[in-house]
Amino acid sequence: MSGTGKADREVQIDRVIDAPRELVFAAFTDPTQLAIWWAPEGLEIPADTVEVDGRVGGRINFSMVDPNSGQDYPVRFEIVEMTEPEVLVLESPPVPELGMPERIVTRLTFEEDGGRTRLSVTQGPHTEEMVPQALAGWTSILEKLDAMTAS
Amino acid sequence: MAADQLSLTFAALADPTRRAILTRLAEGEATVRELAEPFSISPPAISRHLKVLERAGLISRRQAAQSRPTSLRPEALEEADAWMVACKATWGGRLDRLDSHLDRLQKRG
Repeated sequence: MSGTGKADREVQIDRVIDAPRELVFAAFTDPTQLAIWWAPEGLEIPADTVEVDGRVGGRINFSMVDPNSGQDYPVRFEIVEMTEPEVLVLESPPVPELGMPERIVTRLTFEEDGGRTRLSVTQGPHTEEMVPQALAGWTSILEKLDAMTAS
Repeated sequence: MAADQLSLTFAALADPTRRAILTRLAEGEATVRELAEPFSISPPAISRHLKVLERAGLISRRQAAQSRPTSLRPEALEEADAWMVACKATWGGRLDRLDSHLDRLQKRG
């Protein structure tokens, strides 16, 4: 997550988590666990709002609630790919009020690493095929612009 | 930037010809004829791509005597970039919480 240039412009986050991958994978598909950690700071997920239908074509749905205002932010995912405990691909419809103006594809891969798990998250709008293209697009254009303004 | 504007930006960037046009425009203003030259497509086809890019806010076109020179609007690209950075920050915090959650879970077990 350091440095400048291309890596800064890709939404790919890699993290090594000190737990076996079966456990890490389950944290994404077990309703009780999901409710504990998914919501951003300041929001809560009431456990009774979490519905998980853990199969390809199934769903992960829940509500994130702001305890101060009572504002409810529904989160909807369709499971488009699932190979337990290796790969989980989720697709969500646009939620403009949460800063997600486009259909979002989130790809999670869980790699075994000596009892720990190498978790990789790739996220972007449009279809998976379109994301790398669009990323390559603005990365190279912005780099060119940077070079032009620097010279 | 309005949400649907960002969608337009992503959609406009998803086409290789339009990205090539933007890359060319990063070097400076150009006319439709100049933009058509390196591609094996007609000026009218270029004009259609320019309409998509203009709607996405990625370019601006000014009225000159006989032509409408096109130039790049880097602001739209930067907005898309900022959105990606925000996404990354959200996931960073989320994975911190996942990490501590699994830590507690394993200690308890």
